[in-house]
Amino acid sequence: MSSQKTERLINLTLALLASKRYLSKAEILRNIPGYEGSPETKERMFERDKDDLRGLGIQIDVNNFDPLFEDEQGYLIKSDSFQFAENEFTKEELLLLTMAANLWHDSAVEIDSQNALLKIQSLSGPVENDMTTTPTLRITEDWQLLVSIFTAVQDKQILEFSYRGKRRQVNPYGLYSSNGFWYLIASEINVIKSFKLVRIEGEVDSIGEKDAFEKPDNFNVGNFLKEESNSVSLVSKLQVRKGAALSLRNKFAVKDLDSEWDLISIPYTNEQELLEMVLWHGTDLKLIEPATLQQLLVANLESYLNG
Amino acid sequence: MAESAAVRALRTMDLIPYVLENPSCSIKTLAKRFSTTEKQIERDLELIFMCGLPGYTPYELIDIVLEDGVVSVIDPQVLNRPRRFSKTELVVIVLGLKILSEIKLERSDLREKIDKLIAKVSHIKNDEILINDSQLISSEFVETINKAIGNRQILRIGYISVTKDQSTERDVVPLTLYYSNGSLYMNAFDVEKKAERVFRVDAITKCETGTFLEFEVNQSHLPEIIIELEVQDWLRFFVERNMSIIRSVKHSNQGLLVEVAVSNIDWLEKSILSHIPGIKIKAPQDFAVRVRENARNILALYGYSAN
Repeated sequence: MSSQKTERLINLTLALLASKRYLSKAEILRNIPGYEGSPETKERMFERDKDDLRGLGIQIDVNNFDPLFEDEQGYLIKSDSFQFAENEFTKEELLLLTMAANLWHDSAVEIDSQNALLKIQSLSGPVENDMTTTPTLRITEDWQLLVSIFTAVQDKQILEFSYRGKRRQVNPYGLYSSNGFWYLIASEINVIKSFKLVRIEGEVDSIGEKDAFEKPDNFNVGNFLKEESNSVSLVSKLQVRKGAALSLRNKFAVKDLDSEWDLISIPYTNEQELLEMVLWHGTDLKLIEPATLQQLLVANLESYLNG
Repeated sequence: MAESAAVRALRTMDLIPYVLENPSCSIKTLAKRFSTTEKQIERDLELIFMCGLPGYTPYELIDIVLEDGVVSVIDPQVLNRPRRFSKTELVVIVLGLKILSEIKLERSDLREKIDKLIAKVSHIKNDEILINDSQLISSEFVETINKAIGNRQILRIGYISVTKDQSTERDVVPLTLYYSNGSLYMNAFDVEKKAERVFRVDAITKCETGTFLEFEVNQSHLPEIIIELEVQDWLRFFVERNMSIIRSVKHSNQGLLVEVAVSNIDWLEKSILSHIPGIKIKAPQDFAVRVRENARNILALYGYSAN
């Protein structure tokens, strides 16, 4: 890769960042070294350079440069969109940012957390912190998917993806994590639902412009979850073998049934997760209710053994 | 893959505010921090030495000095502050801050400060993201474990093994704490076994601090067994969540052909049973027979037998 192009990109960024006014294309091509060849070649180089910088998240603003010639455009990188302001963060905030970046311990996320840390240290120098006693995080979901969805929630951009075999278009309202899984809360045809990220099939596409929708005023993730858990308070009934399934006995009350079994009631929200929990305990746990789930469990076992 | 000119341009520009805030930084340190080679850092610095603002006289160029392998910035021009966080870095920071506010609950003033900081760095609203993992919020032994990590102290723990379904008492020296798949784990030195073991914190029933212990960790790992599995597409997350044990993944008509290496075969057996009928064992045959036998026994519990 030629150093010439890198040098030109740096000089272009610096010029657009240092300028107090919008610079015309002609000024840029005339004053910034590296734009060589015919006028068409120079123009093509400039278009590609702009695309490259924008592709890496640098915001280049465009404005009509000359009121008399409406097709003449001017370019500028606003300092506050490009770099942090002087003294933007207090010492304590810099420490919190350092701790937040240091939490992650996972190859996919580590590069981003290291890059974030470099920027924090470019504001503060080395930060003393008590990270030795803070747990680290390992993220196991698809990191890029989480980033796309987070960004769409932040920018209020419509999302399109496949979920349970159906193509969906949704307005993303929020994100939450529960038992290590991330969920998107979004409105699909005016109904607010939650979508488990690991069950999204393939890529997620952001559609259209930012600020594409308004969230209902009274919406917040906490209330949504409260309403959801109130409306779905399902309880399963199970038999648990005496002296077995210690982790369940530790969490839920058991009743004596006979010399071999005890009875236990366990609340659940997700049928698949209940089935997984029952099967995990093998012949020490028997699902009694709901009967439909017991039938599904038997059908799954038969399909496995006959398949 | 060779990096693009734009990626190199950004890294080169990022060097300047970093060196400015961390003076007398060596080439070696910069290479480590920016995850590249010393040669590349030297090339980047040589390049940025040629860059600056239109006019490009010595007064408008970025001025750096490289002496005895140590870099100093004399004039950064407009690069006196770091770039703002990228999209992905922002997710690391905001989610990290959210999690910090949950685990640092002993300081109630911190939550408010963290919320303010999130609003400062992103457009995400406080009520749009929720970390709802009860373990993050209420792990009663975290404080004791944290202290023991710092002091290299023995802890006497009561522990329920969810795989073996046994309750034991052990003396351990905790080494690290980490969150993964929604559970908090403690990596600790088991005093009796003289080796490192991983414990789920929610399965610890008792935790008492003991004395300081000097020890050497036995680096020999438990023997691993290679198992070939066929995982149906809907269980893709099983693969994503267990990347640490996966040796290879290939696509097949039925889903994914996965090779895993495990030391804890009981855990794998329970995981396969939990996800019936989604995971089939291709090899070794004796393990496949063992899991089928167990599935048959579970089915018999419900009064059915396989054909």
